[in-house]
Amino acid sequence: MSTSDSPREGGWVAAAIGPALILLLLTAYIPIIYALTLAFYNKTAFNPDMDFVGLKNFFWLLKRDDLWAALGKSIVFTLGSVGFQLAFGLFFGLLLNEAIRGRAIMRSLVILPYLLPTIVIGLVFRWILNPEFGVVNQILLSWGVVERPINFFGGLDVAMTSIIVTTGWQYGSFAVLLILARLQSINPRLYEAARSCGAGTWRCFVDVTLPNLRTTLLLIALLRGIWMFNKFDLIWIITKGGPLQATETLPIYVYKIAFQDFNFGRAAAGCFVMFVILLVVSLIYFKYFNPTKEIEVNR
Amino acid sequence: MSVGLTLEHVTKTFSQGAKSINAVDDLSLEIGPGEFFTFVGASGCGKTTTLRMIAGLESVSSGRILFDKEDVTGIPTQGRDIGMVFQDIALFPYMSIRENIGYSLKVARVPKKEIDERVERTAELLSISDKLAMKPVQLSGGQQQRVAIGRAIVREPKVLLLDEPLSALDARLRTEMRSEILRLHRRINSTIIYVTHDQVEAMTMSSRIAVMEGGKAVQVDQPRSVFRYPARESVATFIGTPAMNVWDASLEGPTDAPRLSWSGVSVPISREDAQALSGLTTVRLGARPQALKLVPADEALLEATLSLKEPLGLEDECHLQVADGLELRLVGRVPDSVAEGSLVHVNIDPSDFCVFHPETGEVLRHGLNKEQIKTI
Amino acid sequence: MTKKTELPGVFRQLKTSRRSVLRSSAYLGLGLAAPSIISRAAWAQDAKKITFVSEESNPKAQAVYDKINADFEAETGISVTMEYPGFENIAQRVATLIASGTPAELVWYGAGSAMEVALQGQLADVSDLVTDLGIPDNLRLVVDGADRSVATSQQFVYGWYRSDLYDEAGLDPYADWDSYLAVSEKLNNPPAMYGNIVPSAQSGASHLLMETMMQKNDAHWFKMGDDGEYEVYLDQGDNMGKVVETLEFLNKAHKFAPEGSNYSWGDLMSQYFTGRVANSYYVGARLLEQTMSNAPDLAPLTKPISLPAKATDNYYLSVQGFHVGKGSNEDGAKQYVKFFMNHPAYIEWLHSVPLHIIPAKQEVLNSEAYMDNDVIQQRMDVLEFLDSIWGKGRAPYYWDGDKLNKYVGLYQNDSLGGWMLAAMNIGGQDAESVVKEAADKIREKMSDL
Repeated sequence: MSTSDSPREGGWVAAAIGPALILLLLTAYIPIIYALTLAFYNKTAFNPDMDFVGLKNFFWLLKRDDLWAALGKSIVFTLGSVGFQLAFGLFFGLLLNEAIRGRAIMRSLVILPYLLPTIVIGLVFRWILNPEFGVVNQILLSWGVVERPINFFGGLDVAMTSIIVTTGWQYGSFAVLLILARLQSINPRLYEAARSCGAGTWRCFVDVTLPNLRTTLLLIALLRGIWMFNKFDLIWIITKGGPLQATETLPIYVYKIAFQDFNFGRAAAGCFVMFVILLVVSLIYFKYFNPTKEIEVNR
Repeated sequence: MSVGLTLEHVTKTFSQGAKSINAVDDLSLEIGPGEFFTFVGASGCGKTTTLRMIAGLESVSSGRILFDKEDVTGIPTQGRDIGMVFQDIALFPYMSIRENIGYSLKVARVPKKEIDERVERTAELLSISDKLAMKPVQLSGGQQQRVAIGRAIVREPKVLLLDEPLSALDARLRTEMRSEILRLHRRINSTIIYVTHDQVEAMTMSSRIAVMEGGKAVQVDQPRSVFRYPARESVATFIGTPAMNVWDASLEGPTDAPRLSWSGVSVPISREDAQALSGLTTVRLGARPQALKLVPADEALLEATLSLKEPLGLEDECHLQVADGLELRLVGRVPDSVAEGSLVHVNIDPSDFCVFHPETGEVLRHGLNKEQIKTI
Repeated sequence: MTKKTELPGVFRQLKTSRRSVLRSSAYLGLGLAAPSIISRAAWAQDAKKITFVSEESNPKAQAVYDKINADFEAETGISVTMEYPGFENIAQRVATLIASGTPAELVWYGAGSAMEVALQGQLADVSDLVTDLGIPDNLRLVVDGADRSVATSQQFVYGWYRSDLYDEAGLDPYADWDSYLAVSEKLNNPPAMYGNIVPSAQSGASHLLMETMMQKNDAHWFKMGDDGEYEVYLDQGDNMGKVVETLEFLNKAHKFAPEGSNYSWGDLMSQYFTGRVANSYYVGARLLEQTMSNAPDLAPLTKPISLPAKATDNYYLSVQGFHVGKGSNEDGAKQYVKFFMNHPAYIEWLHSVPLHIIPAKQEVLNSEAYMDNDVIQQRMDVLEFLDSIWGKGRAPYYWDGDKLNKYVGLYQNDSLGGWMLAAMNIGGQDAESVVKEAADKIREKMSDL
C-alpha cells in the first residue's frame, strides 16, 4: 500500500479515521487522563477547588503501611485467584475434552458462572459459605470433617482463601472455555506420535498438551491477572475488605480513601500507583512471553 | 533386534448407532523379522486400521496380535516399542529438530550425552545434520518427513510403522524418499510395516505386500508374484499401471474344440484350460498393457484403431479401440509413424492372459496354453 | 442474611458518600442540570410551588404524602412536587439542586446528613417552627445559632431478648454490664445458641454498638477545648480508661457471641430470628417487624430492653426531619411543615412501620390516635418501654458537648468504632493500642481538613 503522500489522500484518511479517533479519545482516554491528573491535585469534599499539590498525594500514600499491606494482599489475591482459575480451567477443560457422558450438557453448564451477575454470585457464596446456615458447613459438620463451623468469609485466616475460591469459581469458566477450545484444536496425531515414542499419559500431558496450551495459559494469566488485580465488586460485596483488613486489596483500599475519607486526589494517586504496577508487570510479561510470537503451525 | 509379527483372526468392528461394520475382518497373517511388509489398498480397505491396531492406537475387537511370541493385544502403544511415522508428519512444532528426534530417548530417560550422540547419528543417516537447531516450520516437507522418520527410528524400535508417509509430499520428493526409505531399511534392518494406497510404492519397496479389500487381505505375496499372478480381478486391476485390461469373453464350441470369443475374435483353447473353466459360459479375460504387442498384420490376434497416444518417454501408452467398442491399453515402444487414428495390429502371448471368474472375480487361469492359440 | 434490609437512621446517610457528593457531585450535576436551570429558577421563585425531596422508599408512607399534599394544595394553593431519589442518592440530589441555584424547598432525611448541608450555610433557619411545634431539645440541630432541622421522628438504639430462654434459665433481664455478661454466658451454648451478638467489623452495625456502649460508659470521642473548638479526647486522661473499658467489655461479650467479623445490619436481625442468639439489638423496632414476618412464633417472646447501663443510661439517637433549603420558597416550605405535623395523617405516616418510626414528641406516642394500630395494640409493652426510656437518647453530634460537633463524620464515615471492635475481637490487638491507633486516625484526618 502506498503511503498517503498526496495531500488529497491524507485528507481522506483523516476524514475517515478522524471521527472514530476523536470518539475513542473522548470515551477512552480523557477519563483516564483526568483520573490520573487528579492524583496531582488536592481534591477533597471540603476543598471544591482543585489545588495543584505536585507529588504530595503520592508521598502521603507511599508512606502508608496500609498501602503496602494492601499491595501484598493484592498480590496474594491475584496470584491465588489466577492460579485457581488456571487449575480449574485445566481440570475441567481436560475433563470436558474427554468423551464422557453428558459432555454436551456439562459444557453448557460450565459457562453458567460466567453469565451470572457478580452481585448474585456474591450473595450466593455468602449464603452457601455462611457459618450458621450455609450448606458447606452443614456438610462438613455432618461428615465430621470439622467440629465447629468455619467462618469462611469472616475468619482472618480463611477469608482470603474463600474470596480466591469464589472469584476462581466465577471466572474459572472463562479459562475452561479458552482451554477447551485450544484442546480441541490440538492435532490428535501429536498424541499418537508421543505415545509411539513411548510416552505415557503424564508425558503426553507435559509434552503435547501443555506446550500446545502455553499461549492460551499465558494469555489467560495476563488477562485475568489484570482483571483480578483490579477486582473490586465481588470482594466489596462479600467482605468489604474484612475481616479487619484481611481482604483489603488495593482497589478496596483506594475505594475507601475515595468514599470513606472522601479524598479523591489521594484515591487517584492510588489508582495511578495501581496503573504503574500493572504497566510494569505487563511490560515484563510481554518481554519474556510474547503471546503473539507463540503462534504455531500445526500440521 | 527386529521381530516377527503374527496377526491372528484380527477383527475391528466400528459401530455407529445400530449399524456396525468390520473395518478389518478376521485378518490372519505372519510377517517375518526384518521384512518390509506393505499393506496396500484403496481407501477404506482397512489397511490403516490394521496398522493402528499393530501400533496399539486402535483397540482390537477380537483376535490377537503377537510380536514374536509375545501377545501385545492388550499393551498400550507406549509399551510396544514401536516407531511410527504418520501421514501428516506430526512433528512437535514447539520442539527443535534435535528435541523431536531425541524425544523417544528422552522419554526412556536415556542420558543426555547418549541422546545427543544417537540423534546426531540418526540425523547423519537422514542427511539433516545441519537442521538440528531449527524448528519444524523452518523445514521443507521432505525434510520434515525425514525428521519424523528419524524420530521413529532413533531408539531402534522392534517394528517401524509407516502410515502413508509419502502422500503429503510432491511426486519428485516421493520417488526420492522411496529409495531413501529402502536404503534405510537395509541399514537399520528392522521390521517395517508400511501402509500405502499407492501400488507403485508397494511394488517398488516391499519384500511382501498384502492387498487389502473390505477388511480382508485378498492376496499376500511378493510384489512380483502379485503382479504376475493376481489372485483376483480386483487385485489385477489395482496392481500395475496402467491397469490390466479385463474384458468379457464367451466360452464357445464343443468340448473337444473349446474357444474363447470376444469382439469378433475367437481363439481355441486347450482342453486343460477348458476344463478349468467348465460350467461357465462367459469369463473375464485379462491382459496387462505391457503384454500387448504391435505386430505385423499376419501375426496379429486382433486389430484396433489407435485413438490416443500418451508418450511416457521411451514408451507410449496407447488407447486402442477394438471393433465393438472394447477399449484396450497398450504400453510399449510405438513407432512414430503410427499416428493417432491409424489401424494397428496387436498380439498377446497366450501365457500373458489371466482368466477370472465372471462373478467372484477369482482367478481361474494364469496364462493359457500356448500351442492351442492361433492367429485369426 | 441476604434479605434486603434498610439501614437505620443516621447510618443510612453516613454510609453514602455524603461529603464528597455535596460539593463534587454538584459540579457534575450542574452540567447535567444546566438545560433545566432557567425553568427551574423561575419555578423556585413561584410562591405557589414547592419541591419536596424525601428519602422515603416505603410505598405506604409515600401514599400518606400524597394525601397530605392534596389537602395542603386545597387549603393553601401551593402545589407540592415529590422526588424520591432513595437513600443512596439523596445527598447527591440535594447537592445538585443547591449547586444549580434551585435548592429544594424541603428535604426529609436524617439530621446527620442535613448537618453537612447546614455547615455549608445552605439550610434556612427554622427556629420558629421548632419553638412553635415544641420539638424536644435532644432532637434539635443548631448550626450558626439557629435551628436547621424540624424533627418528625426518631429511632432509639436498644436491645431485644428472648424472654422464653430467660424464663427457662430462671434469669432476670440484664441491667448493667456485669449482669449482661452473666446472662450472655449462661445462655451461651455454641454452636446452636450464642448468648449475645457483637458484630466486629468495619460496618455501621458494629460501629453503632461501640458508640452506644461508649455513651453508656460516659466515654467520649472529642472534648471541647479551651478555645471553644473540639479536640480528640479518645486517648486522653480518664476518658481513655473508659474507652478501653468499653472495648474490653465488648471483647468479653464477644466470647459469648458468634464470630461477627463480617456482620452488618441484616445479621443483627437474621441471627436473632433464626434463633441463634438470645440477645440482639437494633436501631428501632425493625428487628421485631422482621421477626414477626420471618419467625412468627418467636415474635411474642421477643422483648425490648435497654442496653446495659454503666455510668449513664443514655443511648444513641437517630433523628429524621424536615430541612428547608436556603433561598428557596422558604415561606411555603415552612407552611407545609406545620401543616404536615398537625395533619391527622401524620399519625398514619408514623404507622407505616409501627413502633419503628417513633414520633418526635412524647405526647404523640401516648396519644390514643397513635395507639390505634393493630401492631401497637399487640405490643403495648414496646410502647411502654419506649415511653420509659424517652429523652435519654443522644445524637452523636451532641454527645461530646452542647455545641454541635462537626467532626463526627471523621470517625463515623469509616465506622471507626467497628474497626476498633474488629481490631480487638478479631485481630487480637490489645485495647489500649487500639484506642491510641483510633485516636491517631482521627487526628490525622483532622489535620487534613
